[in-house]
Amino acid sequence: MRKLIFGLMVFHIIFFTACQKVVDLPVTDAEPQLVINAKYDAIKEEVWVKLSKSVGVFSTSDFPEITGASITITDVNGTITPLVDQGDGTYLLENYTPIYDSEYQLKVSVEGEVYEASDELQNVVALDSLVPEFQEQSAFFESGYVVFMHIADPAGSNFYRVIRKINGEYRNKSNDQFLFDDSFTDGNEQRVPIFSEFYQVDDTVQVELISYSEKSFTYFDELGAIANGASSSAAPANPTSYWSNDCLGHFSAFGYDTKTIVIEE
Amino acid sequence: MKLLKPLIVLLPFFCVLNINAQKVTISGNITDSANGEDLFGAAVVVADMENTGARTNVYGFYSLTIPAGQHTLIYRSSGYENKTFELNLSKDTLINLELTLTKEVQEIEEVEITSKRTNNNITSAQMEVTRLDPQSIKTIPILFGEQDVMKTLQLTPGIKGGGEGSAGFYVRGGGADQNLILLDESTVYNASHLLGFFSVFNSDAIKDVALYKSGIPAEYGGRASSVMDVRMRDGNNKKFGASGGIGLISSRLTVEGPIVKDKGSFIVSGRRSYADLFLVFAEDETLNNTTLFFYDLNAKANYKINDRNRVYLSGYFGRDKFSLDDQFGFDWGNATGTLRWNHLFNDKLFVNTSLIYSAFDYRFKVSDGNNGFGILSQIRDVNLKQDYNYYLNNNNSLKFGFNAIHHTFEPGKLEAEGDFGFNEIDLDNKYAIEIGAYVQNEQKIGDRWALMYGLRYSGFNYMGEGTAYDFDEAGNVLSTEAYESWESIAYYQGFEPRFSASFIINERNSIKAGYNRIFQYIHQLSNTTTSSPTDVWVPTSNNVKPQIGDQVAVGYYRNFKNDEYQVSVETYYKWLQNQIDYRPNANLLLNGEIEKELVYGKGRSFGVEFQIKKTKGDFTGWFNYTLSRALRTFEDIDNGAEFSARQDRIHDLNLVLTYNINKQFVVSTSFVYYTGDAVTFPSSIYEMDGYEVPYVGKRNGNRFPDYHRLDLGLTYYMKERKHFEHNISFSIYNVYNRENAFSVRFTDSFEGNTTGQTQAVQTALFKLIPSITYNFKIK
Repeated sequence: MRKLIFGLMVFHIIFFTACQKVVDLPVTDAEPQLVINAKYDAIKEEVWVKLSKSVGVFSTSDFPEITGASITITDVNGTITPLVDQGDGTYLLENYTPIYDSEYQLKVSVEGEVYEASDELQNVVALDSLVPEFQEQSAFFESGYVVFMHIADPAGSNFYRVIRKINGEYRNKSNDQFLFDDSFTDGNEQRVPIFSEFYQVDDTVQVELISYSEKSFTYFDELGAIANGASSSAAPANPTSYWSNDCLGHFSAFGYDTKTIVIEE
Repeated sequence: MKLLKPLIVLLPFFCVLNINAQKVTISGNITDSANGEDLFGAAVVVADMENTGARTNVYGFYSLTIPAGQHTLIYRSSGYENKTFELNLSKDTLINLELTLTKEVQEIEEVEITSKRTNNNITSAQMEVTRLDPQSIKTIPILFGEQDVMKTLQLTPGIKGGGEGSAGFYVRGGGADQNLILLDESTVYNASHLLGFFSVFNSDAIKDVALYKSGIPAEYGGRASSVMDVRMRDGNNKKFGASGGIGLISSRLTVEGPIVKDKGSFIVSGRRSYADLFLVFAEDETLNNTTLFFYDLNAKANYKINDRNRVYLSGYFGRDKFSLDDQFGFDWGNATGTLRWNHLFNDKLFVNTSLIYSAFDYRFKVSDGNNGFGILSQIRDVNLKQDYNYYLNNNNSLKFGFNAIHHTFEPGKLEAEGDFGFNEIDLDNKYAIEIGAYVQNEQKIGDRWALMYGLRYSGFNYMGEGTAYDFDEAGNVLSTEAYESWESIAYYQGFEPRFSASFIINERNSIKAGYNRIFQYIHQLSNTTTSSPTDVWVPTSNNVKPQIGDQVAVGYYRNFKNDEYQVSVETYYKWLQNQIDYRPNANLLLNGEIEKELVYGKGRSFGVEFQIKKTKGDFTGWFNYTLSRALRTFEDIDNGAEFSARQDRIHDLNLVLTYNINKQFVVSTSFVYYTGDAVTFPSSIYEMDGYEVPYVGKRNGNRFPDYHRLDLGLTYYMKERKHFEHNISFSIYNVYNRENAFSVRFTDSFEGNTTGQTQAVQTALFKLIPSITYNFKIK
């Protein structure tokens, strides 16, 4: 244990930069598939359906619009109401009064096939208030105001989705989706932060708190995961389909409560 | 009683005894003269008798029975000077012997991935075992210059790394959780640091690593594909010493010495990484409050009470810590402890008793100072194990033993703070007892045949306290039942035959074959395609069946030029039953009914591995090429069509070369090439609510681009003094700056894209990385 004295110089360079580039990879293109995107917005009292088809991954062409389908919606009493073909791939029914806590069925007949799906329109959970809170700059965020939603979550499973409109503009990219349920918080007074974006003074923040059925929540949750690149997931999968026949898309029936605030200092 | 029947069947094999002539038994320990470390695999050969000799076990013990009279004994071990004795033996004799390193080897650090005797690859019954001695691989270039046994093993045939950013590895098409990783007999549940950039094994503290990929001996059980058996050094029992290294992102220090000279010793070895310390200088406030480091500590002590009794105490403790500005924290680590007692009943019967503890846990925490939550999860084992070596006669040496492990699984717990409105969650612990008992004989028949055959019995008792769920086919809960503490919920058991044989054609050529069956009772579930500390271990239960692995392998081995070159071809076929995958969109985090997310299937893998090694001279190294497939079939995935496992790398090629230019300089290089991993890509895109959604194609139906990389290393040994030696090693990782895919995403919004067309964007982790490490040793 002699001569423990030693000197040394450490010289180092680390090129530790993760790098990204576009690569040319072969993919196996699947046959075009029918996509049915159907919604019953109980607040607007409007049923809206869009029919389109999928395209190849690297395709530059538009999504084909499907016209000439016959579409009907059936309520809990068995009343069948048809939607009107708008000629651009969309189908519309207006002034359709909701019956909350009941089942709706949608039937689409197109290209010789019939597709059916149903959803339960949930009672709307109230959005009690929106409370902005100033946050200092931190590891995650620039400084700004976080908006907290105050919700009295009713006992039993509830499924929510938040849609934001900031200064009159909807935030509707795939990664703006914010879905949450009460599996960790059932029956509690909740204070839910919306971390998606930080606001500044004078911003107008409008929040729609959608009450979904479990089915619709699961679908949009899974859709959001795959749209935002869950390809590194252990079990990458398409969202569970609730259509009676093989196609993509979903039918949801939902209501929501809206609150708006203007951020003040 | 079920256990007895197969034992009786095996008995006649042992009865190849001859009863004439008086016999004497020579036994003892063989150690290194410089530091007193036990030599494993050292040989004692009786020069005047054909085909007679013995080899030391992992504790350096040997026993040899021969007729009384005049004999010439040769003690030898690769890299050590032979010692020869003329003895007139009339009674049982104890010979403890120290062997001295040959001078040549002290100068030239051979790259030695070989068994201890130079032609042992030809003559032993055991199928090819990949052995590494950390001392011998230290010139091979490695990422960040941190020499790592696990990374080096991945350069050998049949063992494939999980890719950059993953410390998991795959053996012959098996899953990453099918490798039993042992450190002084204690299970290491997560062998990676810094999300896979380092393994938990500090080379300074390691004596020997053996990786069994076929013909796995009966003493091992519990994982379907392979055994990686890592042994810690015992420490120098002659004199005090220290060694260490200073590298770019980590440093290490080892201290060792005698407790009582020649009777006991200790070793303490520590490591810490400090990449994050440089972040303090960062301008960005976020970055300079970031912590990202790991540390680990190996400690071991042993004491020889007398010639018949020796005790060992060893332990490992390591932890990774990652935090961002006190708002996000994530840390994980292993802890192991082993208490061992070697006892010699007589000069033919050696027994080791071990009491082993092993734990792995992770926790993460999100908080803004007032509000937040933490999640933690743990697995804990206590294992009692006893292994006997019985040196029956010159042709038969018998091993038998048993063990019992008590497993505690804490699947997850959520703790809330503040008023975010989180409910606390504490998932029920799960408990199980896993038992094993085995008997195995290694037998020589004549000059040409060597056999190793054995049988292992394993059992698994999944038990209370807890709730058992019953699910229907779609994963819905049908019924639940509560069980009391220690009450059995489900019991599984099985017999695991093990067999290896070698036929020696001549001194240069041999053929070997092996078969093994192994039951695996605990399974790792992974959220992502790469390994992560949050991967969950789940026990076999009323819903989850044990995995079963069967493998047959055949190999041909040939040595050339006085054992200087070794060539081998091995081929294998492996069947895997009760493999686990997930339902689409499975949630594995804090899921009390996690079993409902699982689907079950089967797998198979097969391949052929070619290797040529040069083991002697200034120029050493190896080249290997593997052609293999790894396939899985699940009823619930793609309607039961067979698909590639992620690690289905069809072509896999490695080249490692080391050249001793002179006494000062050693250069080395390694090259890796393999077929890109099987992955799942989208097969079309569609529109929902104004944005594009990928439609997921067939499971693992696509491939990453092929992986290849060249590394270079140079080690400079500075002038050695009597009590001090030091060196500097330089390495360059990824010399030609290849961008190998870590992930691929499909997006229409990558920078510079105005066409709206979807593009495949690849992320690579490491481009060219130069590094430098300074190593020293005080003797």
